[in-house]
Amino acid sequence: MNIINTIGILSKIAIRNVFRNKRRSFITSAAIAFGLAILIHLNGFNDGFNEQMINNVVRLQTGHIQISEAEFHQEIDTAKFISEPDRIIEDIYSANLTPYVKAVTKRVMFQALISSTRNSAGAMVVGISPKEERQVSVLERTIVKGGYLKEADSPSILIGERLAKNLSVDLGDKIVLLTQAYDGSMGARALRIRGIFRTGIPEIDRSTVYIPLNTAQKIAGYESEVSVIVVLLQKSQYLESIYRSLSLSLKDRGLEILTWKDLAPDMVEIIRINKVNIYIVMGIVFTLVAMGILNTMLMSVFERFREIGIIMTIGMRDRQIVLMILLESFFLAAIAGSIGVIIGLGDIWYLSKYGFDFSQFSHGIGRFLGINTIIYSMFTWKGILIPLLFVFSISIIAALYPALKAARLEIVDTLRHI
Amino acid sequence: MAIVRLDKVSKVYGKNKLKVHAVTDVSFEVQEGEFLAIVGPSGSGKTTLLNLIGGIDRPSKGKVYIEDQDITLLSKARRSDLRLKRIGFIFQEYNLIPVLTAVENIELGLLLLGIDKAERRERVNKIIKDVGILELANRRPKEMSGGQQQRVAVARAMVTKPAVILADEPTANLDSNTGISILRLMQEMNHRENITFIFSTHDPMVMEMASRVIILRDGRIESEEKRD
Repeated sequence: MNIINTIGILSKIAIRNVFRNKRRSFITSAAIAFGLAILIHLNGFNDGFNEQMINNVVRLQTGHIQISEAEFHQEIDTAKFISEPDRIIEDIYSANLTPYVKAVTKRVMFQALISSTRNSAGAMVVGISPKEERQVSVLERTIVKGGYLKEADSPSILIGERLAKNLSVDLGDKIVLLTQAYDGSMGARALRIRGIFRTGIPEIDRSTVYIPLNTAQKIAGYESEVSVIVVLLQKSQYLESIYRSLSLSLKDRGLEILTWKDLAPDMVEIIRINKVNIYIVMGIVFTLVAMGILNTMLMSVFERFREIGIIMTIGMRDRQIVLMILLESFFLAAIAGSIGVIIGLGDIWYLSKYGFDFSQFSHGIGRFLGINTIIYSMFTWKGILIPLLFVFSISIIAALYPALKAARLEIVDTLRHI
Repeated sequence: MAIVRLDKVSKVYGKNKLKVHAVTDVSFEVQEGEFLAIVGPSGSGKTTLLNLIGGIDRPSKGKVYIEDQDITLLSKARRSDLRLKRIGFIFQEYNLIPVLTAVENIELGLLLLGIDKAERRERVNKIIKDVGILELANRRPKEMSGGQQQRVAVARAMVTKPAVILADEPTANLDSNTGISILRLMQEMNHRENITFIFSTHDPMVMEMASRVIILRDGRIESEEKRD
């Protein structure tokens, strides 16, 4: 009862003190709110950017999980293949993973020499099952000329815009693929360009081609064999658990199971650097916020030496004085925090709906985002709560020194203070 | 039992050549219900003496007892408790908390004591009637005159039912009529509630109303006289 009474009266004094010097409290609150809003914006924007990058990698290249022969990705070689891919796919669906798996597709991958009548270039050939691939990849949406691949063994090929330019070929032109089959023999096939795609990612547009799965299997000397099985999950959050589950169920087959993080380590590194950057900015903003609060609370304490002395004379204890000052800082942070969160949420709402086109500022942005250079912010509770928690923590920490200073005042000295 | 007892109390401020002997070898007792005035010119040590009795300063030498308890040995926290429970303060400058209303200023000590809401309300209602500030209950200090603020300060000092109230020149900032009314109020409370009052003053009118007067000069008791 006593504690509740004490906190009640201390809170009352603290709140009224916050509004006592309205201009000072407004300026400090505005600085805190602005700092918080910036951090919420940065978190939302960064999360959105990262999510788009991940989505780009997952939906254009890797899927969430890939199953392959051991060390296939270290050296892509037709001699490394999965013998009975359909049984593995059956296993995936029978392992109670169906609710978590959105789609599964097979790919054949090999390096090849691609020649037109004028030029030739090295490229990564990806054999896909057009219908299944549509469930996993957004490749079809990137076609800027012509159409998507047809099923079965059609002698057609999708080629990147940049590669087409390098080979001086266009829609309907014929090009020849030459590669080494799994048994060491040379496999070759003439294919007609059915579509030209532009992903916005230079590496893909310059050096990747897509052909029907059956065609790729024949060139590589396969029957039903494939290079990789690509799994797309319903949600990215399932990645770790499904990875563990697949590793367990497929461990006896000697296959390698890799996540997109293993397959695109540079992307993981970029995301990590982005996060570190956010923490650095967070640190700078909070240092500024902390100095603002420290200044405000110190001034507030210095101005009220005599008043604090009177309260102590009446019988308030040191720790109650400390609590009073901390509560003052807490309420200041609560007001500023509410405003900052409202502004930050407004910013996230707007940018998640309309996005921000970065292409005018950075020509290289497509390297990370693909063809869609508009970045959309992403709302996460973490993105709001962590900065908010930081604001409250910093407010309390910054107010500790003035609070302890107030509590250590000698009453006699304060009463002489005018 | 003496409510207050000072035993050869001295207080020295500063060090070496800058030493100031504010109070030297002062001893006296104050009995329950006394209305004691400590008088003397500026710098005679009146405020220092009240600070020592109130436990907001420690003597350099000697002992101060409140209800037979040696307060010079108490920790800072224990002295805070003692002031909260057994000592009331009235200041020359009123010293109300500016962000609290009259009622909230009066109630502050009761809240710190952990007294329940019903009793707090009863005590506050009684005291604001007794000191004649019923209509000022919800005003903040800046909305009151000096005399009104001092009445609130008297109510604040009394509401916790302390053993002794220390008043440091309570009428010095008031005009003579208001000063007299405040003194009469304190005297009335002294008679009615039997609360011991010790106040410092150099106002002759205040001395007239005291039951005993201690005259200080240069930090020493020069004389003492009892009034009827």
